[in-house]
Amino acid sequence: MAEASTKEEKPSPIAAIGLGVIIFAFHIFDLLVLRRNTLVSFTIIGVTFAAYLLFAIMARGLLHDKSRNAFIWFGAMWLVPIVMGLFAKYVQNVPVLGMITIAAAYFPLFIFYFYSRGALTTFLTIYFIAWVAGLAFCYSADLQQYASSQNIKLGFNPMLTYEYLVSWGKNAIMSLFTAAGATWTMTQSEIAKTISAASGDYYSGEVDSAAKMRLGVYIDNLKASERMFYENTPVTIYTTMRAETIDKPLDINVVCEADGQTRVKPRPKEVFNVITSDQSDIDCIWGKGVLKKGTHNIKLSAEFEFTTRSYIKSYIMNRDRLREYRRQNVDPLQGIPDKNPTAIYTSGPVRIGMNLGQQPIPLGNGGEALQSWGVTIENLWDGKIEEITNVMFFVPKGLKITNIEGVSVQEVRCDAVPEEERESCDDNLVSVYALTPEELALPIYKNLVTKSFRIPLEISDPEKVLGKAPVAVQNFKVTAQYRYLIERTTPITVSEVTVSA
Amino acid sequence: MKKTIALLVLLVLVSGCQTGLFQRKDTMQLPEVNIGTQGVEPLFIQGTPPREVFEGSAFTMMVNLANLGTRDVDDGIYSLSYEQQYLYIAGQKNQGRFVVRGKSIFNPQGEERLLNFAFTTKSLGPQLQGYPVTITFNACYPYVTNAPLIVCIDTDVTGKKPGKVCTPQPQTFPRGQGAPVAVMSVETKILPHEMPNRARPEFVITIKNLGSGQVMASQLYREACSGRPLGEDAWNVVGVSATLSDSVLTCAPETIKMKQQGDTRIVCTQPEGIETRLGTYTAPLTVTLDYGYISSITTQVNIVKQ
Repeated sequence: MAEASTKEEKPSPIAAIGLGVIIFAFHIFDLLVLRRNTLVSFTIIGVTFAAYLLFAIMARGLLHDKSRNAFIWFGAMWLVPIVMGLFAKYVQNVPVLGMITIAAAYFPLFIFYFYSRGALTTFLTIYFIAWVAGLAFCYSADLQQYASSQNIKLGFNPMLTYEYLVSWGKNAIMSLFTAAGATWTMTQSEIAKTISAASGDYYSGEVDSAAKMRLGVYIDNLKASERMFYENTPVTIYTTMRAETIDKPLDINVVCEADGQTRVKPRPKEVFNVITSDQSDIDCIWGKGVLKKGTHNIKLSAEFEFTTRSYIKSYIMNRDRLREYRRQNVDPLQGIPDKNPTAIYTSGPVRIGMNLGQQPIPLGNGGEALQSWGVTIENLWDGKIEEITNVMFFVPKGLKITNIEGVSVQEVRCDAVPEEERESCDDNLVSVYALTPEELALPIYKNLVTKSFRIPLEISDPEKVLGKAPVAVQNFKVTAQYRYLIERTTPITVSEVTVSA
Repeated sequence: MKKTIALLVLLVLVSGCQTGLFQRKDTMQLPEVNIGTQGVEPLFIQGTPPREVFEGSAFTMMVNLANLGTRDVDDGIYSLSYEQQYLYIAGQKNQGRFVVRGKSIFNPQGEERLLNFAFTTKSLGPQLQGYPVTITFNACYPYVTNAPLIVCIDTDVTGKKPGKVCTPQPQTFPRGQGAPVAVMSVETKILPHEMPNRARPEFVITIKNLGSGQVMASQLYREACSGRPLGEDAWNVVGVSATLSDSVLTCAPETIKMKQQGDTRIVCTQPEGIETRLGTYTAPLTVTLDYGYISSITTQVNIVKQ
């Protein structure tokens, strides 16, 4: 009787498979999100954590397990994809990467299944052996190459494996430090964005959907020409760089350096001038003997000047008339397809988000304040905004920017805007304001992660804003010019050449 | 042979007959022009403006103003709202006037006016690949709803007299009267009068805006097409008058602010009353509503880089 009741309490395989599928979906989600480096990623990590915790509690309940094992296993499984996401770009062995992904995805399912049958220890033993065998298989080619470079005859040689693992371990430690540095920078950036969002000082936007081109500079991960380097051979690291621009040529300065000091000229050139779009393979070659024995951190950086533009549509209506509409319970924007317009920014490394508050915007008399305009300039990619060189705000004629709290701006004319933008700037239709050079020289505009402006607007000429229509459609724009730096790093090991007797 | 001749004679005789089955219908029904719930309706002509235009190019937008109601509009106003940063109208103003006749038995479709606007797109500026520009067209005009109805007047307040020709009962008119503001129903009540031998007819008239636009006081329709405020008391205001046969009724209030949601009721009465000796009869009741109206339409044109 007791046996029958024990059987009834065991979880069904269907439930375990269902659970496994859900966990797999979460893992994939984790991986995808973590690589995007966006503000959402922290939220997603939190959500997945809650999900894993729930699964652990479920597992304990189903298996009648009072120990902490379920929490440990599921906690580990939650961490694996996160760590993997951080280190993915440093793991170059594709089969290993694949193994980790599959293991991470299905491991909880196996644990759940074998745990319920009391065969977990057997399973883990087999699992461990399979992993070691898999790794040995994946790295056997490296091991053979290492042996050949050391003039060691293949055969039973445990020391060879030991030496190889030491060399590999050094690389791994270097990767760890590089990844930790990148993680710290990313975390700081995410914290800054989260603080901005939490304080309500963060304005969002969408990338120009009409854009068929991915504007900006994109660099693939660095690749080494050889699995192993030696002191008597040159060290070649290469990658592919793609760049796209419209309206203005793009000058990209490329630098190759090892350990932050040993620089070499990249091939084919240091400065790339891109008119529309270009794709180039870049090689960084250190001559033989330049990089000494040991582990080196190779870095390729590309710096370029870029401009991001953003606009937001707005509907402006006489304040009294709007009040009348609202009291009559009439939709003042009846028939207008896009009643809550969002900011649209051009594609590239920076996002300019904007918000103008509730639409339509009520317009009072001359001299009165209009609701404020929120602007956020945010680093979107994993590079650095080295320096902001120019920020311009375009407001419809009839409105003016008085003074932004703690920020120095000056009114300029259309002839002061970037040359390529002058054709679309009309002093009769827009008023242009720019951050002053003194303002841009402040440290906050260097290595910028996110910066929000709350811009108070004042009505100078209501008739000019409204024209002769009940609802005026106007446009607010921001242009930001900046210098952007993209870096790609990879560790390499240079081995000593030993000559056998 | 004799049979054949007899058959032919019979056929000749029968051909002169006209039966109801083969009778030709020479009469035509007059079109019902006094129904409908629309006034002047602006409509973009299909294909104009185009959905997508290149920057720096020209395009035409055609608006058809169709008077689908029964009242002539002699002094309507239109205004155009568009993003001047991206669009330019060559040699035209964004406000103008229009005249458009209403439906009649001679023109049961109502008159149509075609307005042409020649736009030129400006430069989008660098990097931007496309921009959806919004264009709104507003038509503002004075309008009148004329509702001719037949009501039953029963001066026998006590209801003792038999053999009446009609009985007063509520009437509904859901199809409108050829104007955006419609008389939805009329309820006839015959009340005792202070004077003997007289009865006082009272009509409870329900009105509603069945069109897609907004109603305002008739004298303020021009302001409605501008950006200026009209004042809170100007919106949904309708002037009401009514006549029973040739007698002008007293409507209270004469100018009513319609409810935005639901029906609005007005009471019209004949204070002097009707002599009871007239008995029970049907009489024409004409309700006239006077107001201004604004109809708007919006479209988007996507300006793209060449």
